Amino acid sequence: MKNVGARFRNRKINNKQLLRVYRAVDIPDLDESVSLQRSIPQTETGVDKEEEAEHHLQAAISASNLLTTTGEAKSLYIPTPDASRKIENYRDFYNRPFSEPSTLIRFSSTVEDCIGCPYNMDDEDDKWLKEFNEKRAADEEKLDEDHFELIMWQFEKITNERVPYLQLDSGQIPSFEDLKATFTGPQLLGLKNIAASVYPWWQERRSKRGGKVITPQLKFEEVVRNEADPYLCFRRRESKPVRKTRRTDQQSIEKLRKLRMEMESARSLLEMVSKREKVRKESLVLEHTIFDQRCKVREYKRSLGIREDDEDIQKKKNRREASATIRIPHNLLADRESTSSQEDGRKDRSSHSNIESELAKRREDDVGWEDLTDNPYQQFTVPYPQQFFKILPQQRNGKYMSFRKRVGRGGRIHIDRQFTRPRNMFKDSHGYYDNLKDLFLQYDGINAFDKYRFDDDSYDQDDLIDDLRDSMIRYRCTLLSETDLRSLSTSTRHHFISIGHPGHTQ
Amino acid sequence: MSAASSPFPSIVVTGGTIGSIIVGCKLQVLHGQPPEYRKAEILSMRPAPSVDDPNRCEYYVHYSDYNKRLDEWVAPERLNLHGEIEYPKVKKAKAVLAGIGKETGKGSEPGTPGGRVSKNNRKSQLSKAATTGKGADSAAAPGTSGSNKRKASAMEEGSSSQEKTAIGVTPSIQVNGEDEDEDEDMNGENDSVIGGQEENGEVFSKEQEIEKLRTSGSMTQNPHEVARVKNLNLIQIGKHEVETWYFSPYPVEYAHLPILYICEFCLSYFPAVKQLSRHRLKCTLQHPPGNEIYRKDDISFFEIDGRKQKVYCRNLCLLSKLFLDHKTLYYDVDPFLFYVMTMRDEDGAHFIGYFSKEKESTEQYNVACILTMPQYQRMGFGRLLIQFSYELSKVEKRLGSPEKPLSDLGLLSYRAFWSEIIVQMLIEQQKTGIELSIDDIANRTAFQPQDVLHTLQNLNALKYYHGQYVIVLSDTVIKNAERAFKKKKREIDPKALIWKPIHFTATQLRFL
Repeated sequence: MKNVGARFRNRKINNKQLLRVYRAVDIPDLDESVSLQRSIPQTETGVDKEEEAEHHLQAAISASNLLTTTGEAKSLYIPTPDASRKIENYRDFYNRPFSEPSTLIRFSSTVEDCIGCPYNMDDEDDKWLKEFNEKRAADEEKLDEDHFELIMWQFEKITNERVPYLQLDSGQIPSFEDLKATFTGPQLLGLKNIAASVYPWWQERRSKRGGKVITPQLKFEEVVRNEADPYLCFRRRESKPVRKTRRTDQQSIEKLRKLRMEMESARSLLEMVSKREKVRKESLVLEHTIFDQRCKVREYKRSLGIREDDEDIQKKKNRREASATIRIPHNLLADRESTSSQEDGRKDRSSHSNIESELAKRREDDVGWEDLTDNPYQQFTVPYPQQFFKILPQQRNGKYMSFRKRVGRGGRIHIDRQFTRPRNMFKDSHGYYDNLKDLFLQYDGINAFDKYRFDDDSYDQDDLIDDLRDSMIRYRCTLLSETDLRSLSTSTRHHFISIGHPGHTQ
Repeated sequence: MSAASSPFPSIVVTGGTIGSIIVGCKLQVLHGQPPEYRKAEILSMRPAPSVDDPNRCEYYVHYSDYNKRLDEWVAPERLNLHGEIEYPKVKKAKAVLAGIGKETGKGSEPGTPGGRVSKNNRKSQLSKAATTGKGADSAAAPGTSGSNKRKASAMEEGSSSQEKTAIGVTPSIQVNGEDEDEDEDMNGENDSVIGGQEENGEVFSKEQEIEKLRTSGSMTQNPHEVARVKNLNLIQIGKHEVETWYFSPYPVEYAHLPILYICEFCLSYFPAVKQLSRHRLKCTLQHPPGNEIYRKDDISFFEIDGRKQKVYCRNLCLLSKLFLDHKTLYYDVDPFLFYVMTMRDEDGAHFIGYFSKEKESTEQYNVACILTMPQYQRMGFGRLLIQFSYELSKVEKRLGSPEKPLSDLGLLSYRAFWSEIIVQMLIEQQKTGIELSIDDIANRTAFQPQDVLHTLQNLNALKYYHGQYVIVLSDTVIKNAERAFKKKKREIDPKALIWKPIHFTATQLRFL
């Protein structure tokens, strides 16, 4: 505030600035001229600019200013039209005593609920009704005002419902016959007959109004858009424009956030790959030095004449063996198969050779011919039970080895093998990796498995689609009983019949 | 509209006849008690035949620099025809004056003496509503016509049958020519009505021009013109007879009735005593149709949802429009809550005043419209309404301010309330010696900071002392406050307010 440069500039006072409150008597040394120099721009009154200059307002404002400055009380009111008169006959209209409830009033009925029949007869109606009642014979029932209004309202209501645009074509005014049918219900039913006498009067009044409702109504609807008719009021507000920003923004923000997350994870993935490669490079370098060292050691050993078996080199060899494919003796496989289904196998084999010879014969016939038809030969589906892993009877290091035969594209035959450790197979949820880990551990003392665990990208996919995992298979086995499995298996014999027979007849 | 705001130069003529008085001209009019002359603008005319003069007219005048609520119908005797008469535009005035001479001389319109013709010569001058039902006037203009299109847009449906039968009398060529003029007129506001025509007018012959002026005169209803003249004079509500202040869109059929009768509980309106008495036999309401949220002594507040109580709230708005110039009834009442203050006696809870409040205010307004009925004004009820509106804001834990523009009366009431509350608080604060900011005052009172600042400025309390701003309470301010404090008056008791803010969901607010 002591900024000299901004000495006399009118500046807004900060709302958060702390102000001390004084009585004028307590600070006699207050210099008004300084305050004037430092005066804050006047805030707006909020009154319409045109009206702000009005005589009476200005007079009243200056009067109140006078009051605050000099204390001269000069009560000045803005003159307003008269509102002081009171009517004499208030009781004629308002005579229902009001009993105040002890609790706060809760009220939800609408005005429509509280005003009874909405049609209020006017002087014209009154005159007509009086004449009508006079004309009626002494023994005839007179029509009272309440019932008259009920009838008129019924006419009005039904007409407004049925011909809402009557004012456009007054010729459509409903006849009494049309309206009569609506006089139902306990109140109206009895009035049906007398309503016939009221109808002409109603019709006359309605026609006089050019088909419009007898009681004048407010104008709500715009004939022309943005019509500036001052009598038009309470327009329906156009439904607020949907705030599209919210939802679409939300969606795109979500998308962007997801994209960013994906980009970040991709980046970190690549970073880790590069880190891994660096580490591997280091490890290779280390291995190389180890190898060199070993060579040296061996040389020293030789030169010093130490004769020991070379564990170091042995180990390396072992590891290589571990990574090589394991060959399974063929006879074992055959044995296994034959024991599992000896009878079936024999039959199969005979029919199989049958077909083979048939096919061979065919091929001989076709020599010199090119078969342009689709190759009719189809692989036979392997019987379902044979798709499972089969456990070899031999045990190695307390583990069973199991295998399975698959036929791939072009008739390639794959043999999948697996070591199973029946004891805790169900316990580990990552059985697959543990199995592999065991495999590695079995052949190598160092943790080669962990070292190369994520090297192969295909692991990821295996992980995702491996429903042939031991535990999974076992689980599936429990879903079907032995008999179920049998009934599920496709008998190869049926295949022969269905495929083989047409071939024979040709 | 003052002469200064008109883009067209005005002509001043000294002295004139009653026939030379047209809509838009300004002259001295006798006004007030004791009566004195004051410059006023003629906004409208209507026939008021007397025994001596069947062509006598009444004039609707707006006194310069007075609020519109003092606009009134005056008898011709109150016009000072010997003084200066200011016409809106040179050519126009001449043309009109010339036209008067001509037509009176020709007697071209049987049954329409010259004095009357001048009125028809002007377009946009005779309020249709004013002449409705007084057939003699419209019959005076055989050329009262126009295309049906214009009729539909510019006229009230309830216009008298004479005008309808007059369609087609005027040659169509002329009608076309007029259409263009009138479009201009519709765009331009009141003042430009006169100017817009001139360039074209020169092309026409005198006769054509007169015809044009006459034919278009009663047809063009600039909507703003209609709304400038209040359509009701007096209402009877409860036991009170109240003169109205401004135009309100009650059905056009009720325009210019001597009295409109309003049921003080449901606020329904009736053109005659008969209907009111019939209605009163059936109406069972004895308090506003909402939940009472405050009761202390005989004062109660009722909360009413515009969406749920359409009829009542519309009636309420129509009624309050009679006393609020800047209120708009353009849109329906759905987005508002209405807080109605009543005073209870053996007949029921009488409507004293109300304020409306947006269900969701984007500009932190805690009041949209606020009104004390004129028969209860100057009794401290306005203060009560204002105080209550801030009590609601305190419960909501929000700062609030009334919607702008304020009326003159609104400004004075709010200023008085703000200074009273703030001064009281500052006197207490001064005793503690603790500094406080404008925001602190705002948070304690629920006033908006700019209103606090506004009040401090009006109190002349912001001073610069020893290098910083301080608040200084002058002796008179303190004295006034003490005097006001001693005065026994009605106060809102926050403890008697049993209320929780209603929260509206986005969907509820969307379909308003």
